[in-house]
Amino acid sequence: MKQQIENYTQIIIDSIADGVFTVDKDWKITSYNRAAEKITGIGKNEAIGRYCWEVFKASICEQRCSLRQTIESGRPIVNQPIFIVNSNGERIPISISTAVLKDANGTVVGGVETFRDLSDIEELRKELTSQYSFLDIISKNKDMQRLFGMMELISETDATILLEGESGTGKELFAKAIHSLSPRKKGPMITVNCGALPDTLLESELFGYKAGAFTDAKRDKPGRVALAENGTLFLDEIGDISQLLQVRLLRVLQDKVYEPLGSTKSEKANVRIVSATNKNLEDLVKKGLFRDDLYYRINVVKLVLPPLRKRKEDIPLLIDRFLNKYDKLCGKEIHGLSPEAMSILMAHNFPGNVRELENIIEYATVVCKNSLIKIENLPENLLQSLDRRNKTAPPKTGEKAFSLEAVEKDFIRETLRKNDWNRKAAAAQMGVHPSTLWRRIKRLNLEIPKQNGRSRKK
Amino acid sequence: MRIAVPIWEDKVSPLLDTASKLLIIESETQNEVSRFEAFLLEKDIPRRCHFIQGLNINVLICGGVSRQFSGMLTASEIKVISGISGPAEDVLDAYLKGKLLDSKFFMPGRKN
Repeated sequence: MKQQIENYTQIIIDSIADGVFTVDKDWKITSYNRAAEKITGIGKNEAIGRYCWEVFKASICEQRCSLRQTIESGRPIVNQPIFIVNSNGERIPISISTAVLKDANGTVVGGVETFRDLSDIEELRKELTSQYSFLDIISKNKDMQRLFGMMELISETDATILLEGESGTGKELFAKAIHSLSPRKKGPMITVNCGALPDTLLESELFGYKAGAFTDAKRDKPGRVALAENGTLFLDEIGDISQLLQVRLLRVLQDKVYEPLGSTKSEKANVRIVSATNKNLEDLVKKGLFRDDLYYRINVVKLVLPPLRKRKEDIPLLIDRFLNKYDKLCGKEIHGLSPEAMSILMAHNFPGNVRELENIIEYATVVCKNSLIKIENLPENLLQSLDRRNKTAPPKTGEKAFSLEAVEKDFIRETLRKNDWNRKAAAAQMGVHPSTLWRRIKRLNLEIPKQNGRSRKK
Repeated sequence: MRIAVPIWEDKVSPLLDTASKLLIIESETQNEVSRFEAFLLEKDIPRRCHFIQGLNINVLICGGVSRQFSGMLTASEIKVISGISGPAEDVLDAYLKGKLLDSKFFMPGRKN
């Protein structure tokens, strides 16, 4: 009879999707289910009779064993996140729950621990992120999503593309995405930073030269246009090129031919040109600094990349991405940002855009010693600029110059202002319920214009 | 030669990634000549590895260790013998006598 009950128990615990094991009072494993075998990579036969720490190898075994705490205090522990190292040496994130085992007389005879593999949840989180990513670009902003759709369409053609956006908005990333989606993806993608080179050098860099074209030109050198043959030529900072070079570039775009320096023969160019600028080319055309015929040639399709301050909903996604990247590079286990540090980043204006955010996260990852990035781990200049903004704001009695409340207030006011003081739209952008936003406005004593925001909704 | 073992109470620590103390012995011709202990205060793996590197250890005998950490130590020219459990003194004694790779010291699931 007893044997039969034991068999039933084993069948029941084996049918549970979570790992389950029990220990006796000497911490030796007395039962072990199939899911536990799968998660730890250690078979039941090997595990039974061994000390639990030898099998489990968890981050908490040595100093704050949950099972020990439960057996000593009698209080169960539920869903504590930890990690274990499986038999392959992989760190597996799990959550554990513990309880005491008592016999019929109520005497403690051991403990039971159930644990859930969180790797799948991690995978799901990644899956969710991938919904918002387009090749290497990540965003859930509707303007950016529209650009992703556009890119798929335009990549298939050979149309010349102009990317306009502030510094650090990811123009090169867009150019790379366009190239890798295009039929030219097997060809090279050559980047030329037009702002980095003096005019004469840029000309020889772009078009190449023939031996004898100038002193020290001892042999032919192919230009970037030739190197990009059958691929994509990415001209960064195109607004910086001289009028003379603009004419030569126009010829490449118009007639698909060019002449290397010192050559008497025209060469054919089979390249797709993607250009980028952080200037407003239309203004430059009006001022006569940029040729209008070239402008219209490169501006067949124009993609305007929004700055980060206009897509603040992407900040948490981007932080996640950068944390992942720098965690791996530094071999750290940073899980995220404290709510206070996140509020500071959400309130920042990011003049340097995504590049600035990436640098902030890289800095924080380097100086952070714990698993959570806190305010003190953020760069000094970020805190100083926030401090300055708080100081220049009209002083209010009872409010600290720099506090979480001030940051929250600033952020809510800014979001409301951007949404024409429409609370529903502002709440949607912040990812909270309108009534939550309303409660926060009340709590923070935030003054908002008297007009009805709803009537102004676009 | 310097041999190190992460210790917990009098045993080999179950996981090097989170172990708090290291016992280091200096040996000459298979005999212990001196010993000392070092506290592993660094939590993140690269710093922990850097600290261990600074102790000039030749062989590190441990229980569980993540592949990432073990790889870093090996790259620092430290010979890592992992998957070992039992009383630290017995383990050290067995190593010096060349009898460590005896199954009685193996953790369950140890891959040879």
